[in-house]
Amino acid sequence: MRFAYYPGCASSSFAREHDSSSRTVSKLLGIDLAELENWNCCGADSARSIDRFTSVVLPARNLALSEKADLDLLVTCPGCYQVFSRVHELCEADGSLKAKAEASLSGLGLTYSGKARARHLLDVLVNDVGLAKISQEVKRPLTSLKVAPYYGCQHAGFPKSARFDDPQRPQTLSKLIAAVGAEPVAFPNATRCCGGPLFMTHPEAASSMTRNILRSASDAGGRCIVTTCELCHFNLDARQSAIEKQYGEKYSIPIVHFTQLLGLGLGIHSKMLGLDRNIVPFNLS
Amino acid sequence: MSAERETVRAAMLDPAFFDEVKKTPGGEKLASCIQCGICSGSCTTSIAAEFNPRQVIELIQLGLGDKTLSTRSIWTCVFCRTCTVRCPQGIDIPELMSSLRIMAVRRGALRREDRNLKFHQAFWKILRANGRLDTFRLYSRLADMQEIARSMPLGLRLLRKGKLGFRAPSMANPEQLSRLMEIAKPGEGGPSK
Repeated sequence: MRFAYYPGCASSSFAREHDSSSRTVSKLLGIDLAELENWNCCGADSARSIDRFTSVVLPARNLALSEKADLDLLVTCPGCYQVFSRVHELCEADGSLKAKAEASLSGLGLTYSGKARARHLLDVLVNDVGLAKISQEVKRPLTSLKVAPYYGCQHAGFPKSARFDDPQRPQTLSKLIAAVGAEPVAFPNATRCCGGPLFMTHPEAASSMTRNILRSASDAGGRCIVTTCELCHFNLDARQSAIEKQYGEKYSIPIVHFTQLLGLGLGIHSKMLGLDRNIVPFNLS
Repeated sequence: MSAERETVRAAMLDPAFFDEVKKTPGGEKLASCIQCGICSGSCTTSIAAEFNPRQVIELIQLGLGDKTLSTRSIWTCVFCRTCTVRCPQGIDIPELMSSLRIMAVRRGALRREDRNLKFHQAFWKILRANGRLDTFRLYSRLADMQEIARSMPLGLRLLRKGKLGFRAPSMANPEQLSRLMEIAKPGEGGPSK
């Protein structure tokens, strides 16, 4: 199983531990990752807010690089995944847009045919590697650890051609948690937004959104929250103490990337999973 | 957060605006909106908005162009698409929000110091220079001195954890991206220098 690997901007900066844990668990489970050479930012929410065609060619360039390597593109960020999936859908639905993107990329010596697809690591783990294989590889079952599976908002809206879970009642994360021997605890806000990038533009509203996630996951009995998105992780982990202060509440709930939780179950040393970079300390004992 | 009550006067209505929006991406099926509100019940960020998605569509249907393009509600969408997955009429609301943003910027519907505008223009600028985003440089371009002072303790912690670096993340060869941008020729929606 081989993929072109797209770390994305978040995993290359404030969520480095997501990058290192993704690489480590992938290697152990036989997923061969070749980092996409000279990849560019997917454009996130901003490119599509400024210029539509740019918001198509930016991600398309990465897909074209992936196509050149004859591999699918593995992403770990649901935001990037959403962007790549959007471009695929837009280009498949609109031949003239696709032709324009192809023409632009051929100016760089690249071919964009739509052949290379983006895949999310959670999808690959659950559906390609498989839960049975993961369970077999578990060296250190996380028995009796109650984990709140937090999917984040993007997970509920992946376009049809990119969907790997039930958008209304997602299961993949709970299944992964169970596969490492831990106990998933359902909570009502599992697919609500954490505040996302709004902490920079609408901080008041964003804080109340982040707090809702922390509170409902704690109330449901979660001893830690597992995330699939780097920005969710940042809001819940790095901004947790500011939110505690703002609302006069105490959560002290560790937030771990899904790859970190999986890695622990696989018996990988916490340092290799970048657990020392998490702001709220996570101690299994 | 609900909008203040305001009387809609005939002079504020611009039927051509509805027609114009219908021609933009995401606007194609707007006439079929039945105002059921499932988008708004699903909207995960409406707490940050002035109008929920159903109301934004109603503003468009009424032809309230200025109101539509100047509300922050077109900027609070995080493009999760939950509304669209559930919409019985198959309206692509996030695509519509993108179109409205581009329209708002082109028409100068936002104040220069508008935080949403500043955010996306700063993102765009960093992206064009380095090909990759640096969240902290983005934040420092947005935040005022008071905010910077308040986020200092977190900034130091992130620095110690290696989550924040002095070197801006960049493509090995950003030249490739500049060439692509020359070919793609971003429209006038791009920020003025």
